[in-house]
Amino acid sequence: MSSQTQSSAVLLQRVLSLKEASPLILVLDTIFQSSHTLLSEINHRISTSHPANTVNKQFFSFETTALSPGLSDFEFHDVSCLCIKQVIELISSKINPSVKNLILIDSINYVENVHLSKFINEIIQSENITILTTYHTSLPEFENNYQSNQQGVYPSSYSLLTFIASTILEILPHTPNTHMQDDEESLLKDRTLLQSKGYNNTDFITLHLTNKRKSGRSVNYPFTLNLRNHEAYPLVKQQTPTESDEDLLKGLTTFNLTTSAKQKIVKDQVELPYFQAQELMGEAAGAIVYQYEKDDDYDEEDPYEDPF
Amino acid sequence: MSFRKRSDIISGGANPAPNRGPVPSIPGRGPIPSIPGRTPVVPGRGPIIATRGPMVPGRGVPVGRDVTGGIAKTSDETEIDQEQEIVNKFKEILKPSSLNSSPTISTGIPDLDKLMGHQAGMPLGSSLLIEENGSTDFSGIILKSFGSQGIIHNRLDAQSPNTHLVVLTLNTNWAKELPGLYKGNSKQRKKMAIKENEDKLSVQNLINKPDKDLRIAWRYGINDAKKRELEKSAAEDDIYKNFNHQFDITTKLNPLVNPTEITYIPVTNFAKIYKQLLQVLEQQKDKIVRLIIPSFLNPAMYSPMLTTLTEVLPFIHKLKALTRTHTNLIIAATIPLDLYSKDSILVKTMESLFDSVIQLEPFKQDMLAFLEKAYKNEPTKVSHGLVHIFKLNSLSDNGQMLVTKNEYSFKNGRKKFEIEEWGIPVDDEADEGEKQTTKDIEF
Amino acid sequence: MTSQKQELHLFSGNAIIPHKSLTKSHLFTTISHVQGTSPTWLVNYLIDNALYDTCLLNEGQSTRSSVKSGVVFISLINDSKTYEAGLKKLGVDLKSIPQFQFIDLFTDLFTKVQPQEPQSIAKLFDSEVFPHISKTKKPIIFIEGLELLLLSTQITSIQLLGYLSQLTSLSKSLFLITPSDSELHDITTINTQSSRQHQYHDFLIRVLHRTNLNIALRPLSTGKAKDVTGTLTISRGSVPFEGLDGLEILEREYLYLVSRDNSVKLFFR
Repeated sequence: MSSQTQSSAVLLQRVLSLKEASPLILVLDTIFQSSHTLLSEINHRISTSHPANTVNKQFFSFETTALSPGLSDFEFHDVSCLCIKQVIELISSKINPSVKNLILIDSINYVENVHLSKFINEIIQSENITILTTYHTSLPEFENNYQSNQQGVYPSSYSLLTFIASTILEILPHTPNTHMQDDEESLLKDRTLLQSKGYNNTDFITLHLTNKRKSGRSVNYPFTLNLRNHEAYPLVKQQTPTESDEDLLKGLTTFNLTTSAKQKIVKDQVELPYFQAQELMGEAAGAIVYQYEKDDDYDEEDPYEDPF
Repeated sequence: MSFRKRSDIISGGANPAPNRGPVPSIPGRGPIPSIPGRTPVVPGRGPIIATRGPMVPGRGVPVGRDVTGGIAKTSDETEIDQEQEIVNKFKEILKPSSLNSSPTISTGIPDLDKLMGHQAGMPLGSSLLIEENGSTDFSGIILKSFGSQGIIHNRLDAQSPNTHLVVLTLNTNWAKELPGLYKGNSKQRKKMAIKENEDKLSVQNLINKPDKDLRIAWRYGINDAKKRELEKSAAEDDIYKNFNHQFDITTKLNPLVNPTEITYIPVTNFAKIYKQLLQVLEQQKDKIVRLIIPSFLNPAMYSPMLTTLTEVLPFIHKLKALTRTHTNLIIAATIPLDLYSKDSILVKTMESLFDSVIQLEPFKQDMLAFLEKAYKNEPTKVSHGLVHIFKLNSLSDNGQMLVTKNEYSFKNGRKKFEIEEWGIPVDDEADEGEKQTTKDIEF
Repeated sequence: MTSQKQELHLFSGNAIIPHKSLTKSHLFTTISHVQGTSPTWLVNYLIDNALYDTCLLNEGQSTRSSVKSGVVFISLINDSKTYEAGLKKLGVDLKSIPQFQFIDLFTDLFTKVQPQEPQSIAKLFDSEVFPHISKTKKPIIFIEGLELLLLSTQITSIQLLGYLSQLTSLSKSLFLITPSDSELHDITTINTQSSRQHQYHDFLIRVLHRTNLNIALRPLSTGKAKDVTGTLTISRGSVPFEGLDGLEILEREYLYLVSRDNSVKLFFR
């Protein structure tokens, strides 16, 4: 277990500091926990692990109008008014082939579904380019014209991106008990939309890292990220033995971890102390056991008075 | 039908029905209240079926009444303070709001005036949206009283007409259904008749130069006991005696609305309607203009093309803008909620653009039957539906939360359209000693 | 609930609009409301605060000195009289303050905007709004009624956000006053869905991904009450606000009461 958590932390550090080759790092966020803090964290890790000027940092923004302090060493481009072709041209012109290139796109929701695949493919032309982009999952995808014309066979942006991405960082609000996802639907309704307190924490976030390895394997680790001291704590799932655990194990192991029917019978036959009390006096099932005591007043005349 | 005695009062002061019972109850009220002259079951409610028999004979359009004179004379005063100018000009029919002392005018329904929250009426330069569930047309009655009030104001002084009605409808007979003034209950009417005889006034005189004494008498008729605590001192009452009137929906406005008092704008397209409206406002800029929009977006008048968001919302927005640039404009509109859901963007956004929004929710038949049973001995206590308030002019805009549902009920009686606090009969039994007697009799 | 009257603060250090920090960071705030909780009273106080850094709701913040910032108010649903009257009650004569500018898009909005032509909206902003905002001294901008364009024309949420972006870059702080009635954007109810509802929902969520601060005015879930008008919730937006001296947003929920005489009281919840 510990070696696994160890390796997961290392992997996270490698991913966040761009040491791990990954052409598309997809950050999934919601209005309850935005990616801004994570982007600053990534930039911090890159800066501390790379010598100055060895990473060409470019920020292409559809959404934000200015760089936040945590990203101040990026070159900022507002592309909100450009058409998709112009954006691709601009990005290509800013790539420096001799160093690592980090292309931050904020956010990919603004690229239309039909252009998405082409957009990403045209940018990732060489090995040393990494696209880091945010996709807001709070934004519902409505059927666009293309989809409705084509009877909805074209995949949604979300499926497309999670399929293409080599690394997915899903951000969740840092809450001790993560009922969050279940409630998200209701949170989006008016009662809570625009007025939910306690979200968008700037100190802690919960992060689910999905990394597609070269081997073809995909690994998934959850973390808690402390943004103040830049430390990551792998979240160890509380192993609470529950019934569902049994179901989980069924058919996966060559040996038996569950109790068989026979074992269950034996288990049920184990005599527990309180059974004896019942045996003593309650032989007749359902009978009311009553022992006569000296203080009791026995009335001989009463035809119904029969303790036995 | 509740309005079968219509003919009684039409003959007005000349011959008031003397045989009226002492209780002004409404006999034979059907469970589904409806508008006179309309079939109760109305699938395609609209102006088309509003045709009725020829109008009351014997009362033509008043002759020799120079209304056009008023239109022709345009004030050359520079509009430095339009509002002040209007207040001065229409002092007689306005009443300052108790909240911000802005001038208000009556909707034609005294109880609705009270509901508007200014302890007066509806502020000038504002709009009122009345939504109604079901296929009833109670809101139409409000609109007609709204219209009658304008006409009565207009006729206060024959020399200077002060009001013009604008109706957005295809029904050019709309004004023929406007209710006449309520002339008191039978006792009061008898008294009046005697007085009339003494004064030897002919009916014609009565209409052409309204007698102030008589008007006061009418007012007293309105102020019967239970309303008294809400009324101001008699002196103030006198100042605002022309502020509002009470209308009897079983009667007709008499004489009929003169073509110079009303402009019909046919439902064509919104651009054209707006243009015509601007023209009228220009012509009538020295009068109060009451814009009446009956059954807005009713498919009987409005084509499907006109009911899209891109058509309706800009039009309503323009109307709102007009109320801000024309202090002399007030708007009352009704919309059928059964056709346009309250959950829709359309209605919600319209509500946000109107200054005041109320909803009438008529009771279903079984509820009415229940109420009729509960108030067996007091049929006048039977309400016809609920009034929900969503917005009130200037109060809501200032941030007060006024959404009140199920707190008021309305009752469409012969003598007036009443709005009162709603209580289910059982509650009333506990609250009002008055009702206790009723219950005692029952048990 | 404490019955004691409370003061209005949005940030730590008793700040409402953090004037000093605005030299460093842009502040984007939404003021959302529903039917029944019109935000006019709050907006009045915020205009006062934007101009003078005063707030009559708070003790010791009532003496006005010099104008701290220019204010541009853009409205598509009200004329200038609404706010002139409101601020007069707070003792501010907007007409006499040259730093206050009211851009009236209300009075003849739809004679300038043709619902079927999105270009007419571009023209509206290019001719009526952007040129009138000082480029040299960035003002605090308030805008209300923008949703009307989205609901009544063919414009898309992204196009509308474009104008909002431009306003953001022209201002040091932007307040977007917008309704949040579920009828307008609740896409979870199926019965009345329309593409405009989608657009407005999309618009709201995208806006929420850009804001630093969200202020929400809502009625009590129990309905009308005599002593409480509604709740005022202050919550962090998606974008962290980097103020000076560790300035932080104070997430809070107040109960508030707007009386008939328009006086306002706040209570902590």
